[in-house]
Amino acid sequence: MGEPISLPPEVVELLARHAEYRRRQARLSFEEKIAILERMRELKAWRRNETPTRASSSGVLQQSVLPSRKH
Amino acid sequence: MKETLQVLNQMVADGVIDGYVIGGAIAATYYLEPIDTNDLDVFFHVAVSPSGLITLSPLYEYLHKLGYEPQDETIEIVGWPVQFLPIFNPLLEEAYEQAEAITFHGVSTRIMQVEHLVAIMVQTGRPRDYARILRFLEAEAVDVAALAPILAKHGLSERWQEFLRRFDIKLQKE
Repeated sequence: MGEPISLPPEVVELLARHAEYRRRQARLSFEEKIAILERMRELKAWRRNETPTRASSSGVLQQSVLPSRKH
Repeated sequence: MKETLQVLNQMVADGVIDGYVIGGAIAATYYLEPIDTNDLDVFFHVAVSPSGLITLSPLYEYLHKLGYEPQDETIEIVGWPVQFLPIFNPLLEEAYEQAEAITFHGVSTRIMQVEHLVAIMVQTGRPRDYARILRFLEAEAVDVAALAPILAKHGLSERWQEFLRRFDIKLQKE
């Protein structure tokens, strides 16, 4: 292996926070973890089916100029 | 997933499969944090026809009658794409035999033990398997002393040492 990489303190802090977040999630019950995965799946499905939108200058969401990904 | 497991249990009760065990990312989720995945990996013994041929047709026919159809390499059963993976080697056989019985919302099921999961990942050896092994080690979720004899029994010790060297991992006890 090469020389150890020195990371900026803010990155080290971010990585530590993420590791703690993962440890907390690992302590959830299996049922709770699967519920999280099921919500992630729902979100992915929604993203696949949802037409992309964009905000107008007035802040109102408009239909995207991109074609719908719905089949 | 509760309903998916109920269908799998009914397949066992109806003799379509002899039994099953959950592996892959869902089994990893049991021991770690939720692992994003597209499917539920189910390892099972293939029913052998009287002629000795191995066939998946009864499984597909059974699920077809229930309205569950194949999509690519999976069959979606009540919202979860299930990948049926035949047990084809001694390590998978051992993982199946020694799986842990658990319940999920009151439904009985079986899940691979963490040491077998890791051994299978060592055997499979894809980059994502190595990434997942690193997560098991980082979380101290695997007993390396219990893992060592499994790796040795299935001829994976050298591959394990190579993995440790590659990622510069020094284990306290093995």
